Amino acid sequence: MLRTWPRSRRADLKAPPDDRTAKRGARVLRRPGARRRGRCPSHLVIADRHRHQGTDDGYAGVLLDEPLPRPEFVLHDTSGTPYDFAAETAGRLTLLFFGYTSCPDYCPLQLAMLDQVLERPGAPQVTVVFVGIDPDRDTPEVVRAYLDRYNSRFVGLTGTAAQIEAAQEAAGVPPGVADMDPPGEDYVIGHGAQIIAYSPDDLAHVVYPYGVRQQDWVGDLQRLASEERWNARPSPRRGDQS
Amino acid sequence: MTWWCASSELSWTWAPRAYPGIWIFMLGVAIFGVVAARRHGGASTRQRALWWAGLLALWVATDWPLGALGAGYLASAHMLQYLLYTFVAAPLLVLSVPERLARQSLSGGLVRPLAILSRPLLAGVLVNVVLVATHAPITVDALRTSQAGSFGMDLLWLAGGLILWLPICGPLPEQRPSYIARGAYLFLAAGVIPMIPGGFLTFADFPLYRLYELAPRVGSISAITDQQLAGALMKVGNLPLVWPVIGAMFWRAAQQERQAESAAPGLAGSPAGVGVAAAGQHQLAAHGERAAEHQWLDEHISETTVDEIFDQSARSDGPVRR
Repeated sequence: MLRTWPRSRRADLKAPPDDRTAKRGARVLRRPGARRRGRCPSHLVIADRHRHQGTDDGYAGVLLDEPLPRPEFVLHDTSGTPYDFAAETAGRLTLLFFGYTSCPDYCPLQLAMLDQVLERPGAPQVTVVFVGIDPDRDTPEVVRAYLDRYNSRFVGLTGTAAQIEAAQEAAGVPPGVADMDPPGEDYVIGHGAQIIAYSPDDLAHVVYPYGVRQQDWVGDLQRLASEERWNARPSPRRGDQS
Repeated sequence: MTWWCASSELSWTWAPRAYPGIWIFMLGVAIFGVVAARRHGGASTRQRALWWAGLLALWVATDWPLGALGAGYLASAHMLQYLLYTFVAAPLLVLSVPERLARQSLSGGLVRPLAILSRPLLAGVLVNVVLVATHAPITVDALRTSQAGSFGMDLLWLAGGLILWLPICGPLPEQRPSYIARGAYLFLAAGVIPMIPGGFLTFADFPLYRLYELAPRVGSISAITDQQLAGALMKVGNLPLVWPVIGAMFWRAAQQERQAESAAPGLAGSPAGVGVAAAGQHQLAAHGERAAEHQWLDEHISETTVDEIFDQSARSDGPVRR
């Protein structure tokens, strides 16, 4: 079961996300001036649609001072097969996104955006991995049906609450927080809405908070795919069998 | 407090939302209309009906759901709002103003500005400046994110709509141009020029409005499809409203010409009917509608013959009865 957000701490939802969900790498996801809005706790997002500006380096996403390694976690894909994220996506341009299928706002928008960007002629080959953070509702079938509404090539992963939280921690993403007010089936989950881009060098150099536009995505993905300094495949890890 | 429709981060639901500012505004406009009609009088039943219909259109365009959708979720709803303001609410409101009320309330120095705004060239330019300015991505993204900005945009649309229709059906008849001029003006100002920004929206590769691109989705409509729909609405959405009016203008111009011709039936015949034409000339002159006859005479009769006709009619005892 997901963590729930106690009623007494509801006001804390208005605090900056890093104050309560600081994790490894979280500092680089925070954007100065990010605004808190609305009542939905999915506003644990990092940026908003009116203020996102991009980086000095020309990327629309947030360039990380210290690249994040491709995380190692194993979940199950929508066919029930174990999916070793690091091994399955190694050396490939990969976009990792944690969300849930009942998300009313950011998840549908991010997935629709990625679909439209990646279906454009000349778009680079990118593996999109969506991790469902709501194991109670996001069964493999539900996740598959949900992703098929956007793009059937998107990879969907599920797991137990503990596995998902471990995966989020490995990726440096704050864990989801369920808002059970009012109690019932239609609870919403506060979660990081950022998309992490892993380059072929198995490092994430750029993270995309919510608010990056289609045109910027197209430009950034082209650039990420052709960025020579990040496209060198790392040497096999110690202990790996070649 | 949310008093006017503006962009929102909340996902769209069909649960009604209250916007007290819109209600107060509508109530104020309604009270203003009722008080003005009582004070100055002269409003016919038809004009009263047009007033309330215009107010209803204004309310529908401004309030939930269309107002909320247009302010924060869908570019196509934004465009539909614009069409309702400009091509439904505004003409109904302009048509509802009685001539007497307009003359009394505009007495003094306000008639002159109204006459200036009724000039087709100026009105056409102003209307299209409003059109382009209020649909430019930078303006929409900036204004729609605040309630005051959204309110200002709605007011601009209403003002632009009223200006558009002043030359067509303004309350003061002497300020309206000829039917032909009105038809041509409407064709250019509302039929042709909006096609250009509409084309930009329809054929853009990417969503142009940050606001609508990143807004919570309504149904399964994507941002680019929504924008294309908005562009199509801008290009052709007004045509069902504008073309009948343009047609009516040209039809009335033709009717006016036919009436002028029927007032002098001899003019339509051969030179043998010159005498009858001359007889009808007096009646036409009395009505100040001699242009068509003069044109016919210029085309069919030499200058000498025209002089003879006028001399002959001057010698007669008065208008010839037919």
